[in-house]
Amino acid sequence: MAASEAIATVLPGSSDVELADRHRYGDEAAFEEVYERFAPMVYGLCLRMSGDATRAQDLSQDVFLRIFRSLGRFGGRSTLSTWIYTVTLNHCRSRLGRRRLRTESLELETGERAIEDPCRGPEDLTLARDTGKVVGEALLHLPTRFREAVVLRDIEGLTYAEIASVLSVRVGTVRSRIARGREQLRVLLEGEAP
Amino acid sequence: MSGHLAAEVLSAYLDEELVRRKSEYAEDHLSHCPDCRQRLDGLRRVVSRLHDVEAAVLPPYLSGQIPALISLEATPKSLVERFEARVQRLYLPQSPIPLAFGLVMALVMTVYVFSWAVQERKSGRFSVPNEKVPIESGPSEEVVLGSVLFVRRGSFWQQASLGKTSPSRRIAVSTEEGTRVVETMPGLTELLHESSGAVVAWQGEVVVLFLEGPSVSDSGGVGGNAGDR
Repeated sequence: MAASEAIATVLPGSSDVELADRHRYGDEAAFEEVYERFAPMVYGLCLRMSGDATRAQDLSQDVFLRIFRSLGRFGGRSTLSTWIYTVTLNHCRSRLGRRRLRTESLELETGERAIEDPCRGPEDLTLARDTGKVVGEALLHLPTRFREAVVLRDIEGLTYAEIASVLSVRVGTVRSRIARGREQLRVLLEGEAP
Repeated sequence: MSGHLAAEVLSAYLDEELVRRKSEYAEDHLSHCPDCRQRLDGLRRVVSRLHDVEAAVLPPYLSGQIPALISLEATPKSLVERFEARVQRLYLPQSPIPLAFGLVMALVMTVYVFSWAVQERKSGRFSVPNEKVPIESGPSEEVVLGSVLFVRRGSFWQQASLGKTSPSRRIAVSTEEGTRVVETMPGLTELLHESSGAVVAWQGEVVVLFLEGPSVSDSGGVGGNAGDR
């Protein structure tokens, strides 16, 4: 679980509040440290939310500019990683909005159409069942609130409590969103109800 | 779905996010419900695939780009840079011709205004009157030079009109050649009074004092000559 490892790497070194304080008082190394720690996480989350590498790069740039401008106001009420997840998801929501994300069909390397219609039979998906790319594309067909919860849990490896903190919802809501998101994903990937 | 575990319970059971009592209940139910086990297996496959999604690799381009952007953000811009940026936002000439034309016109206007000012200064319109003024026949109590009124008091002339210029700084002096308007120094009024109108004081520190005959001295010599008198 790469994301858990990424979070674990945050623990040693400067504390979150100390980093924010150093940044507030003009220590350039503080932000560099934040960038080194969280750049892969931010880019990965932007990629999962946008489904496009170029767009994810643009989103990541904007997110880090936001972090740079507001890191000094980080008060330590949550962990820095939780705060950065929140900043990233808020920015993705505002930039991506209600625009339908990549509704074009998925073109696999083999040229096969895998996911264009969730009701397509599982035989099409079988062609690329083992590729993470198919799963990533399937994620884009989930409603944003479900996608956020599933990505944070199953790709980023956050606990339900952490997800609740990032999304500012109750744990019960997180549980519901994850369950519904996974169920929709299962239908997308396997094509039928159990 | 009555009689089966809810999807939320199955999902949370998979994540070990159920409290112990609910977890034990779910485990017990799953042990004798093949439908729920099948649903759980389906969820497990989905989660397994999600875990197999490769971690996003940070593009090298992004690695260099974001610190560069941040450095631009962090660097305080000078006034010139901010002005240039604002000008660029307002006006981006497609060719240098309009800009060159504007600069030439500005240069021409500057030269014209400068030459006009020099010409006006030479004509004396802006200069302090400092030339000989013929004395009217007979003793005169007042003389108007330009917009300034001079009044004769005893043996010397003094500027009477009060303005920004102190009266003691500009004095009209009567000599045998006529009336001369001079710039004086503070304290020179008494000397003028003593010399009975035979003093001519020029701008600056140099004072020319005519007593019994023409002699030239600096301001330090004025007192000496006056004392000789």
